[in-house]
Amino acid sequence: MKKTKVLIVDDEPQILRALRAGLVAHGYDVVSAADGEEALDKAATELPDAVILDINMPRLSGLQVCKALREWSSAPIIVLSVRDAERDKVTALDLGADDYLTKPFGTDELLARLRVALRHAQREAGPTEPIVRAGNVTIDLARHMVKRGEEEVRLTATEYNLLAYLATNAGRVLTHTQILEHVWGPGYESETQNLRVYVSQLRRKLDPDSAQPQMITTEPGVGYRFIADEV
Amino acid sequence: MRNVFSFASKYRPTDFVFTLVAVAATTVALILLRARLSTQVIALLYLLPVMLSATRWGLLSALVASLVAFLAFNYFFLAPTHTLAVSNPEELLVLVVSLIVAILISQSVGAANLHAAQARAREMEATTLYNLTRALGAQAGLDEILSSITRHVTEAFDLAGCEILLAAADGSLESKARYESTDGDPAERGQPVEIPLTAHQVTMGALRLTTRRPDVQVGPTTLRLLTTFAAQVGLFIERARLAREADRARLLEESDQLKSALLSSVSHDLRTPLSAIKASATVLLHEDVALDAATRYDLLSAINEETDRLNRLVGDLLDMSRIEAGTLRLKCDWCDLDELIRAVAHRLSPRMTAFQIQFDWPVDLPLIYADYVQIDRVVTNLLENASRFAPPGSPIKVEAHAEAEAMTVAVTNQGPAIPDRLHPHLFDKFYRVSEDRAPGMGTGLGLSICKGIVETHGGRIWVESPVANNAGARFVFTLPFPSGAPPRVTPIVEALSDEENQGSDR
Repeated sequence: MKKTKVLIVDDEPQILRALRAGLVAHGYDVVSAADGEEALDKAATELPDAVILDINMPRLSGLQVCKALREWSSAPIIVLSVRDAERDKVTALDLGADDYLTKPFGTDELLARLRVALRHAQREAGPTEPIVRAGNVTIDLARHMVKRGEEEVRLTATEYNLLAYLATNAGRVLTHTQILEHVWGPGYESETQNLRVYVSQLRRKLDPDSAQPQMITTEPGVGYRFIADEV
Repeated sequence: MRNVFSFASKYRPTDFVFTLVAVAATTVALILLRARLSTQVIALLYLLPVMLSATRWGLLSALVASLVAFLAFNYFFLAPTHTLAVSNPEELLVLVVSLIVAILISQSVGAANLHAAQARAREMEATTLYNLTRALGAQAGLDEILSSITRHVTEAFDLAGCEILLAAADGSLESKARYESTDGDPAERGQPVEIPLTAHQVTMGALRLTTRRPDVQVGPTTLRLLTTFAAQVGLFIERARLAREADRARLLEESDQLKSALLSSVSHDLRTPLSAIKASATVLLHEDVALDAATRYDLLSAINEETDRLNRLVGDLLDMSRIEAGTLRLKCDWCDLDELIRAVAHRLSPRMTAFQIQFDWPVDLPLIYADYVQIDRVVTNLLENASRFAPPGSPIKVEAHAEAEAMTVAVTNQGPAIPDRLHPHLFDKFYRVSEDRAPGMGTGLGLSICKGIVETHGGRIWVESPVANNAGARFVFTLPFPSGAPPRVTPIVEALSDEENQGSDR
């Protein structure tokens, strides 16, 4: 079977070295680039299945690379950023990046994000899984039905649309803007207040006994992530 | 206070009416009593309305009274009566003398009145000036004092508005404070008048006055008074600037000393995890030493943990320097505190398994308007701090409640009480209750970061200890709501749709 090819882009050689070691050890084929321009060249010649991209780079920032890549490639992109650079993360995600990681991060975290992104990219091409499970909650996307245990949970249309959008993107981070645009429609991108209220309601209906949010997790300053059971 | 300073300028028509009434009343009374009175006495009695007018209604009224009294005396009482002719030379003398006396009395009484009015006006001026000057002495920052001055000036002189402009470094005038009277038509304002603000012959700015209507000028008395006051304001601003510079110099000196103390503390804190990482890594690199799996795992975990610690420290230092430099930029939005606190607790749960974290707030807690990431830091630091001092197995309680003006959040642990004398220092940089730098101890920056973030949001943070039974500590912070009613996380009224329709609207 052909190995999955990952392009890693970072201007710090130590990071490249560590990431390469981690990815190769887990069976990935690795190509690397040390700046934005090289990244675009390598992406065009090597046609990677996924890109891990540092945002802060000389000669073409990660954001610019992200934008340029999205013009012709749908390979999942995971951006690497630092704490306090929430705006960069959100910009990258809104430009089409699939996920982000905050430096410093563990290799296991990176691998998990990469798996989700690759799986999602595959699914985009094929038919979607009609049933998403998270703990004792089952979301039947085909029949528009949500159950907690055996009991059906009654949701309003907006609540359902929100949940369905999060669930179809299980494991991926979704920015406030993406969610608002998708669920509420264009023109509602700044109504984060509304979004907070709906998320809070959804959590109360689906996770009423849990003291801590586990199904819909908050990504501080960025958005939300739906955590489904691993399939 | 309208017209306080226009004592000498205006006569009201009613003054003359009163004057004429007084003379007429006197005439009627004298006509009734004429049989018993001699001409001289009548002349004397006519001085009464003249004096009354002089004292009550001013010099001009008194002169009018003198003239009218003169005519009435002549017309009604001097033979031949009902004509203005005088037959008896003695009576003519009485008439002329009484007119002269009336005029002289009018003048001297009028002058005395004028002096009294001037004295009153000067007293008013002194009081106004005193009130204005008192604003300069308030215990407040320069900006607040300047804005209180604009308000006082506007109100004291019944203006439409007052603005203080100060010269910026490039010589252009910058508005520093401004007050606009709320009543009156904003479209109908007079041309602004500027009074220079000077200190030691150097003009540093101007006091700009706007009258209520285009046809109303700023009076000469007001101008004179405000020029005097402007000189004081000028001196005051200069004094405040000098004081600020002196403060800055002193702070610089202190911060130099503080910096070297901090540097030694920081380098210690940075080196400790680095040493641990270096030590573990070098052991692992030694090829000639056979390590069993457990030891390898131990060393690798140490590297992993110390890296996290180092990362937290670097983050804390960065936060602290941003807060100190005043460059912490808040990205405020509506946040659900319930979501925020639960998310923090969830993230910290692997490190806080020894404690029961309890939440206590109403279901309809309103949203806060804050920077989510920063408030996340505050709650994280407070929870971590609580876990350092709470006895294992004890509860750590997070409470929140909304009041009219602000949201209050409290994190309470059942650790040892913090003595009162330590309370003021808890939020100082690098302050640790114990000198122990055990691995579990923080960087000594957590609480000062909390303070910085909360205060940047316009809130307050403090500690209450002991909480109960001579133990426990409660860290409380407030976050003010923006003006206007805080939105509540109330269930949204939306019809439950049928399954078939779900997902079909938008």
